Amino acid sequence: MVNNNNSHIPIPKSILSFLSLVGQSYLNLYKAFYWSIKGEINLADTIFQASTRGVDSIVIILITCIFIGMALALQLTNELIETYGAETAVGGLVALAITRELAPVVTAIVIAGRVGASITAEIGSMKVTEQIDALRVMDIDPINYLIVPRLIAGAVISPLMTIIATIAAILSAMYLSYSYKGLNFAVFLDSVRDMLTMKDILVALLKASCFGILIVTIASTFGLNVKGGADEVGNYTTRTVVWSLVVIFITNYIITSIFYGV
Amino acid sequence: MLIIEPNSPHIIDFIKVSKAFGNKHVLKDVSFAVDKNEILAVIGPSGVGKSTILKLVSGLIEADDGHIVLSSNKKGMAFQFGALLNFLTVKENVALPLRKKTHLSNSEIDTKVYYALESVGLTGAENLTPDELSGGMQKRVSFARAVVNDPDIILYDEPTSGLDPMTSSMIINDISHLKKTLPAAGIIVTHDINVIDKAADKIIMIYDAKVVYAGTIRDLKTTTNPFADQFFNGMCDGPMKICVSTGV
Repeated sequence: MVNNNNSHIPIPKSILSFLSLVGQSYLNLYKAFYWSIKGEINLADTIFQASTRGVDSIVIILITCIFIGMALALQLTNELIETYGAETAVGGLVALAITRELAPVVTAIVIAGRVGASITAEIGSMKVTEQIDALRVMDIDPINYLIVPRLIAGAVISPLMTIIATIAAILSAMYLSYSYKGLNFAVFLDSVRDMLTMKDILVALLKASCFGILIVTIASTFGLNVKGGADEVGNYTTRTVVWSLVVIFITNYIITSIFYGV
Repeated sequence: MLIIEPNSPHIIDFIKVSKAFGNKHVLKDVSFAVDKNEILAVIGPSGVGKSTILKLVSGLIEADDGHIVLSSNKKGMAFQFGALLNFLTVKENVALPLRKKTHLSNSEIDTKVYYALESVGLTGAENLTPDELSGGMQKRVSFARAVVNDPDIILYDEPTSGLDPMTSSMIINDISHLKKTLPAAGIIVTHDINVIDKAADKIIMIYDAKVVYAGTIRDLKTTTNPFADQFFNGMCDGPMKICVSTGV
């Protein structure tokens, strides 16, 4: 027997908007890859975007990662040296935690807040002032003209920033271990060399590239979706940061489980 | 549906076009045609869907029903607030459609940009950025960008809104000048009687999603159409229910 009364189950609006975001982001990413593969890339703008976005973020990333490295070293030197006497493990464990998880994720969080938010604000402002419409009337695809340079910049600067963040965090941890517990630099670095593998570095770079691409895709999608006036630009900028963080943590888990899962 | 048909008898042929946003119908079975060297003014109270017509012709939105047949896809649009890309200079803004859509050399592009800016009286402003320009200048740069590619169709969205009478007069002169120098079909969305009088060849009036008046500029002076009469005389009493009583 067919029940005609309850044939439609209402789907919550938040789920619909999430699915809409995923679909639109996927389409924008697909178009951006299409233009990139076709070779129609505005190289000058790409270099400009990479350099300005990188410079914008580097100081915040350095400060954040230096303090994360020092906090981690404080925790580990206390436990490992005083409780277990395992001073040869301090450098290695700090390096593993930083390289595998902290540096890519913290860098991505800073990029989401700094670069993602600014991309949404920039493209959103262009949307409400009809600049995006002007491009479309001129038969210029905004994805190609505006998004592709930012996407390539995001994919490039995120791993670069992650490398810098990793080095800064490990060096700060090494210095703190020395100044706090007198741990020799050579012992610390030998431990790093023994425990850190090339796989850890490559997976970290892969994570960073994925985060960079996802942040720019989400930021651009929200920017292109801004409706109404300037106040809506602020709303969409906030949404970019929130959704970028959610996607960063989910993607981080997926990549970690692929490469380090049992 | 937007169709490009080079053999179309008109440059722009709007055939029984309907468009709704949610439950609100802004256009219902609207038809009109624009020929070469002709400018159509679209008038009507605020919020009746005049700009929707421009967006439909420019391909920014799609019609729900009906056909829009264009004899050419070479379009230029002058936006209400200029819509200049704020990270490009005036020269780069005007050159953009040429750089992206033609294979012209740099010197050819420079020449075309120079003449486009000269046609709107803005030579010397090439290296300024949009935020260094007044509202009127931004509109004129938008005109230059719209015509630099020698389009067959030019769309003007509220070309004189928010401008002082002198700048409005300059803009109207620009449109008249472009009309003489460029054999294109044009649509102007405006409230300004001076624009209609000096630049348009014919007008349509939109109200309640329909065309309530259509005629030439000459017809306008003798028309007894109650909608046109109410609109141009700025009266509250008439077939259009646009005045809200304040109870005073």
